[in-house]
Amino acid sequence: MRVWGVEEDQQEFAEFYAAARDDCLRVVLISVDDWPLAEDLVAEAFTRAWKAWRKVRQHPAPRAWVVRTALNGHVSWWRRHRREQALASREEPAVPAAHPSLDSSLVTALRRLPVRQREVIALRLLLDLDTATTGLLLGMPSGTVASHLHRGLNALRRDVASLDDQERIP
Amino acid sequence: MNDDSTLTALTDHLHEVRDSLSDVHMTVPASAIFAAARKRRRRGVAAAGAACAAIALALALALAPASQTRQVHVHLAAWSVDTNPNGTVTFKLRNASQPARLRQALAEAGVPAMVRWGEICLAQGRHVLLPTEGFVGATGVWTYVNGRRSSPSSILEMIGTSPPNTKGLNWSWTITPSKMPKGAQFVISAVPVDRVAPGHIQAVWEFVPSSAHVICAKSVKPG
Repeated sequence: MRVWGVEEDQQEFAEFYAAARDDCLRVVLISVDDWPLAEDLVAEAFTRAWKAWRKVRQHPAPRAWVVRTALNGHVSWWRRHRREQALASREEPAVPAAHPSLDSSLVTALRRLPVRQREVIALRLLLDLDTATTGLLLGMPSGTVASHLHRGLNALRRDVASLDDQERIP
Repeated sequence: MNDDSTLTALTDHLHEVRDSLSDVHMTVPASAIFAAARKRRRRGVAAAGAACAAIALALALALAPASQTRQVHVHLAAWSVDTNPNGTVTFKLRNASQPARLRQALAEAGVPAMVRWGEICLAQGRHVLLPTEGFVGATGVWTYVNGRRSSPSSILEMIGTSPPNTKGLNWSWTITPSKMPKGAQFVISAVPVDRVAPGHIQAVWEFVPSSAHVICAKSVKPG
């Protein structure tokens, strides 16, 4: 009989981290518009995922769990740790604060949405989750997910049109 | 346009944005994630031990005669913290440099605070702001809310101007720690005047629950 131990857990989590970290960071970065902050949030979320790995590994969408945790995240440890590193090296981390691709009217409009609508759009459209899984993750019925998505899309369509006629969604 | 076509168009557009971020990578190695988790577990174990010690200490202090409030007198060019004989604390802020030392001085004076220098920190959701009436008083200085002179409140903002205000903050308060509600803290943050864009927040003071979610950024617009 094979006993699943800490080393196997660690190996499995390391593989999950390697495969998912960049995707999670990109989705969070679209929502928060601050590269170092997004990385802090995602690192914090992965730390929590590792601490609860026995539960998270059985989750239907572990990446979405990480993204949702990051968007709700509390970044004190990573922020403090990053500051300690910056002080130790006497310089700021060489990471730009924003990404040029995020300077679009759609991203601006997305960030203006209420948190729930933004979460639903991030999970449904950016992580390609279905409505049921999104609802499971956010603790809401599928109908509420659909409602948030509907309102979010309407707000995005309205805002994008008003922000930039040139980038109007066809 | 119906919802289906909107959904398709927006999904395509968002996918384009997401895919354009292909040069964005996490720089945190997996080993750092494991190390952070280990460090927290150790802290948890240590905290349990510390909790026992704290209970013993609290019992000892409860049985001992009441001691005097700790006296704090720290004066830097950027700020000063002074405890007064009547139990109040006079806190003057010109800028928030040496944030760790300022946080410690305030804590020793009985004023819990989160202090940041070089970035603006705001608690998420204005509903989290707590009233400060009864334990915060101004001492004859100008304070600003959204650029207007105001009395002390649960949030004060100084907004960057053009030309920049190079005179420093000159914020000053008298705080009565014994009247402060438990489980709350001040969030004080500021950026150097030469790094603040006109119309952006140069400095902000908030009074919020300690559990409030606070987000910091190098440049923040008010609102």
